[in-house]
Amino acid sequence: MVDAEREFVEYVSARLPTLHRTAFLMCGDAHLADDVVQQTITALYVNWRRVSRADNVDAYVHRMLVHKLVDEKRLSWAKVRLLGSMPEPERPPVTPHDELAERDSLVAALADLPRGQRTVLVLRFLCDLSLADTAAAMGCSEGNVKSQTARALAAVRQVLDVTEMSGRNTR
Amino acid sequence: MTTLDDQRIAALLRSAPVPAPRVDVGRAIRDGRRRRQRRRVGGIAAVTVLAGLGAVGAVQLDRPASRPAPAPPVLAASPDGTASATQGSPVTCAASWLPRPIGGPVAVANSVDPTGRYIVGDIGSGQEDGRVVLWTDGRAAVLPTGARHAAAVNAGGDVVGTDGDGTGWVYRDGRLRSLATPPGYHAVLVHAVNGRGDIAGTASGAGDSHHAVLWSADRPQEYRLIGRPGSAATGITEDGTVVGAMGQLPYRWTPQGTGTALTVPDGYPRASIDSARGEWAVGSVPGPKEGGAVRMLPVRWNLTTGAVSLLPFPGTSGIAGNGDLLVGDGAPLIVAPDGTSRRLPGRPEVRATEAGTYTANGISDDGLTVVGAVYEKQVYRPLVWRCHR
Repeated sequence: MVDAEREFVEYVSARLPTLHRTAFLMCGDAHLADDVVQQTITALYVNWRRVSRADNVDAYVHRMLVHKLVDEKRLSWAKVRLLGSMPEPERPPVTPHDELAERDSLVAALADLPRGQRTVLVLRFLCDLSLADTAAAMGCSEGNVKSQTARALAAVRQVLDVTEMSGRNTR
Repeated sequence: MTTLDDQRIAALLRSAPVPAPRVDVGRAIRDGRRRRQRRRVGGIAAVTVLAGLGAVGAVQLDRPASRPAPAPPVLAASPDGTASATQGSPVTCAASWLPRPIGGPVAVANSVDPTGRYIVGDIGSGQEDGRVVLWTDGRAAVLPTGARHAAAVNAGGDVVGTDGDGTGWVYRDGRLRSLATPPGYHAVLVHAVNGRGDIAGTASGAGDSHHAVLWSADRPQEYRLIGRPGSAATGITEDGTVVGAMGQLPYRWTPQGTGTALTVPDGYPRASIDSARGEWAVGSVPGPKEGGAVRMLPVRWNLTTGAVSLLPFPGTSGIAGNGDLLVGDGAPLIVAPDGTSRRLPGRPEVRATEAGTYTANGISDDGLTVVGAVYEKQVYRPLVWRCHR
């Protein structure tokens, strides 16, 4: 029991920044990301002994995270996004400066994507999940993942290219 | 994850500014315990591992890599006795557009049958409204609305896939039918179909339970579970050999259902198989950590000899029955078992030149037909490369 709990703490501590980054980039809202990650790791704790024996714990946790996000979204996605855009003194936005302009554009571009597209981008490119694992995490087919990825990349590339033209010409 | 563009997007996602997490592991454990107690009667001993663990915003993610990066992989030098179709004769290829019977900015050819005659793809806006298109000898037909997200097509033109709800389907002789979801599971993921109409996929249920499944295109309401619970199927060859995974191990099952593990490359904790054709299978192993993520490295198995080799490419899109590897890396590349390679040509009217303009998704068994798409001006167009020796 103690060992299992230590394992859990070690696992979650190591993955927490990535999980939170994943959740934030998927939903674009810091509070929602916190909530969803908190719920995910709570559920993970409850099921830890079983999950820790899974073939691929990371893939399982990604799937839990996606499901929690979808649940939250079903509750009140639009409202949350509105609230999320309100200024918050405790959490000052990261100041954009030149090197960060492109990253900020990407985050902005993500915010404009439909949820499915944002999810595939984050799972495939940030979490580096395979096509099959992404499909499994999202509960859809690989063809679906492919087409959503294609669409999302189209939108993101457009934003990045625009940034390059208006900004640096060094790349 | 193969082109420079893709890598750039991955790097941007890894470095994009993200607010500090406010997640409390201690609270998760407290809440979790309470939930567990509610679930089953019985107290849980208090433990003290949490001492000093508060909000965990500042936990260091990157632990030092425990294993040195693997030596640069090399292609197998010998073709493993395979009758390679390359006789030194030059191969010439030409790219041509596939007709689009319906509109939509995302039109992509995803898979081709072993003979190169049938091609399947999706056309839509990229937003859950895609229709499946089947090209037969270059002529396009749109499948019924119920068919979504095709996974594969066989030499008889049977198309299989999985709709958005996790229901498998097969389209044969103009008729669309659902595949049975085995009792106890809530969804399936269909991956492959061979010329006999054997369909391979994986059923999944509550709590990450899963089981490899085999259907027949003749009798889609019947199914056979392959291996033990925890198995997964991702491919099937023409002789009915199923490939997939059992736990962490890459696995194969004979047409009679006898399973054996395939070799995991030395020094890697696990390996997974994506697809198989003929006596070949391709998949990946977890490679070095890059930032917070793990880079997956492509691997190829020879199902006859059991030999496994790491491949010196960022990734593979598939393998042909003759062992030709399709590398969808920016400018699509075909690599024969003996290590010789050829680039696929572009279309003259395509002006875009950056990596990622062309994607290649499927290859026929003789390596002479490749399908994919061109991305230009925010639009994907389906493409086929036809080659001859």
